[in-house]
Amino acid sequence: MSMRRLLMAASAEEYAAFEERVRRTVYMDNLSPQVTENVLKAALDQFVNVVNVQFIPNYINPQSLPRAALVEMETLNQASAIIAEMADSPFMVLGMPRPVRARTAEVEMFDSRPKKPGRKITYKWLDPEDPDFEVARKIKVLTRKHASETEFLLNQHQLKEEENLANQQLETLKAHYKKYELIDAVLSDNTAKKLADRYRIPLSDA
Amino acid sequence: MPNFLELKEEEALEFSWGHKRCLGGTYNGVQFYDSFTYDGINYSLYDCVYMWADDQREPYIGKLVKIWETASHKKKVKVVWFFRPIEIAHWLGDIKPLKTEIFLATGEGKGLFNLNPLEAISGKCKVVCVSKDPRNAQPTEDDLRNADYIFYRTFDVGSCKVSTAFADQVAGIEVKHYFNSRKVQKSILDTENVANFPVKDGTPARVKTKFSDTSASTDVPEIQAQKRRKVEGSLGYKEKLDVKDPFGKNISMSKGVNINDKASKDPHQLGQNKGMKSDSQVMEVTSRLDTDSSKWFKIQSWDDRMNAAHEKGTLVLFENLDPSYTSTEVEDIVFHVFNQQVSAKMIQHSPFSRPNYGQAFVIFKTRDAADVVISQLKRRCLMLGDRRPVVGRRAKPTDPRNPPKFFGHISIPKLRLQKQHEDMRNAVSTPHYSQSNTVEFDMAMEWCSLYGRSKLWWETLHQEQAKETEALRNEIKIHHPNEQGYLVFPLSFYNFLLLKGQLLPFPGSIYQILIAMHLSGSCIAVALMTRALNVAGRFVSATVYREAYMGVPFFCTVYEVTPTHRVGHIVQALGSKVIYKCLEDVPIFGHVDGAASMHIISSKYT
Repeated sequence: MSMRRLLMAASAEEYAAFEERVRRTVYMDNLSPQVTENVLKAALDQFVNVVNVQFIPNYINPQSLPRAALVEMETLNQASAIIAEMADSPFMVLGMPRPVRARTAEVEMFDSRPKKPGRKITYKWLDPEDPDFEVARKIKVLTRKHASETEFLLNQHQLKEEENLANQQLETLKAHYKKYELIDAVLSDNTAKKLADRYRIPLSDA
Repeated sequence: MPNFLELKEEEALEFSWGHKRCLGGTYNGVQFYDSFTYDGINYSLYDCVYMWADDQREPYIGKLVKIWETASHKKKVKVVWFFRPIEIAHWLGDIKPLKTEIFLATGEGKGLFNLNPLEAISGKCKVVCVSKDPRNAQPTEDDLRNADYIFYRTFDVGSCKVSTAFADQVAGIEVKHYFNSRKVQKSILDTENVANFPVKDGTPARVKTKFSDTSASTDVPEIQAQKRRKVEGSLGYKEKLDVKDPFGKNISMSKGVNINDKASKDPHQLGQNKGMKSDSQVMEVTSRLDTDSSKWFKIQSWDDRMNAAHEKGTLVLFENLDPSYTSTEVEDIVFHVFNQQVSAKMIQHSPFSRPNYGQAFVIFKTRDAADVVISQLKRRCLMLGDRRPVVGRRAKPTDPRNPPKFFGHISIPKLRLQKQHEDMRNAVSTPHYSQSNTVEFDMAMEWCSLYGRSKLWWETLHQEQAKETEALRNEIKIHHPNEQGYLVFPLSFYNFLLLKGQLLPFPGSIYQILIAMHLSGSCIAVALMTRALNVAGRFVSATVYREAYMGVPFFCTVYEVTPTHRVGHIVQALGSKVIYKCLEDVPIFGHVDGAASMHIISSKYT
């Protein structure tokens, strides 16, 4: 009997430690695929102490989604500070101008986690004769439907939007750059100066 | 050969019988055995063993040709000797023996064999016969490498002569038992790192019993790291296993030890590398541990295994799981339900994942196994926990090798081509907070608003979906006011034997029958499922059976319980024992793989 309690205590303790770690961890996504652990660590080291960085492998989501990582901070305060700051002002890591998003981590985001203590898993087979079979089957169908909905939303909507925005910004940026180039060119080859002299406008180099 | 003195043992070493052979006819009460386990090592008939005598520096090498227990419970073995060269140096003459060569004793006379107490055995020995006799199966390269000793010559104790010929019988045992057997090479690749499963060996002569002190911990890693006498701590390797058939003589076995999956990691994987598979047949360990390092294989990472499995068709995606499950739990579940060892990994949540919805990739051993499981999941509904039917399907994991596209990193193409100043480049690429007076900031703001919008639409979707699922789930609840189900116990936690269909009828109306059993000699302290099941019972009657099931003796006590009393009391009275529970109409089922490993525990409870 006591053995069991000991074991329960041990697993509860482990779970508590794990949960504490979860609280200290920040989930960051919208990371460029070029971002590595070192980059991220260096980026955040300016503000907080980073204990651990784990990238979340992408098994089931479409390939074009940006990377995500779980960053474990030293203290709880640091974690919440980072999240608050990133919410206020955009933080860029290697992927501009797309800012990195940060939120608190959740237990399910972690890969290797201890079992929740005191949890019992039960299972039951339902045969077609069972009255609930129909309902269960419907739930299964619903699950698949939801999955495809999610997939659709991800692929079509989310990524499309992102792509649109990126393209749009690229266009704007190009346009800006052209303008600047133009002005730069004019200034540098003295055309502006000549024109200024002609029109008798004082041209000051600001 | 001097007779052995009764070795005084400082401590009582573990012992248990293996498979029974037959009863001695002429001597009453004598029971012959095929195998036994002593001090954690499994010995079988026709094994070669070391035997120490008090006055010798080196142990004697002998072959077990008879194993029995007398009526007075004395354990004895008949051992046919092998001679070391120095022992017969006087008669060797010009013959130069090989380095690890020993000589089999033949003929008639003193020194051929001895009847000794079993306790004199001090270890197992690998002896390979390299004789060119047609009856002898030629050993393989590996056998020779693994062998402790070889022999191909005999020494006749009567005539004191060495010869290479083998008579038909040696010491009354047919000579084929002395030769190598045609061995079955089995290489075991995958194992569960959750529990230790011995090989389900069809041959009756070989029973592997595993004694584990697993009671110390629930955690998988600790169980794997059991201290066995001759095991060095070794992690992660695949061993070839030679299964001996009943008439085999040699056991050129390599050892397999469960690895601590938390210890060795694939560095780029997150924390737990669930892909760790090792030989879970905890075989008896030979002393030649260190030389096996050449056989150690690298355990592949989960990624590789997953992709490989997908190609083979053994990868299945389980959906609609409780998101808080861990990968080990998924493995347990699959094992309980389908009785298959698998390796699983829960997919980690992302902001796009649905709340209350978990997925896991499961790698099965064979394609057929995966097919069976999928079809079963389709035909019938497997309900997990609270009304979650599990959906299983084949799904392709996203290929990480495809170059990902990342939207949002924009740079002026022209500038890229131009040579930029070192600091400019640095300034551009260091991570930084965007300043509010830059173009960058504006764009960043646009992205932020996109994030906000995306968050909103995901939330709406999830809400809608949650509503729909709830509606359906509630329907189920109506039908089953009292939750019934089978309990899934973590494999790593419990170790016990199952009786096959030994449900004993009791008179009167029985609600539940408890069967408690424990292994003689090693009571396994196990958590009490009664507590977990919240079952109450009344101790009505108990019958004690001393059975030897599959050669392992155990006690079986049967209690009748009714829901009025706390079984906890009964259990306490018994000490710590393993408790099973079954319904009268559901016979305790399961199968025994000859070892104290749990397979299916099934119980209905209310």
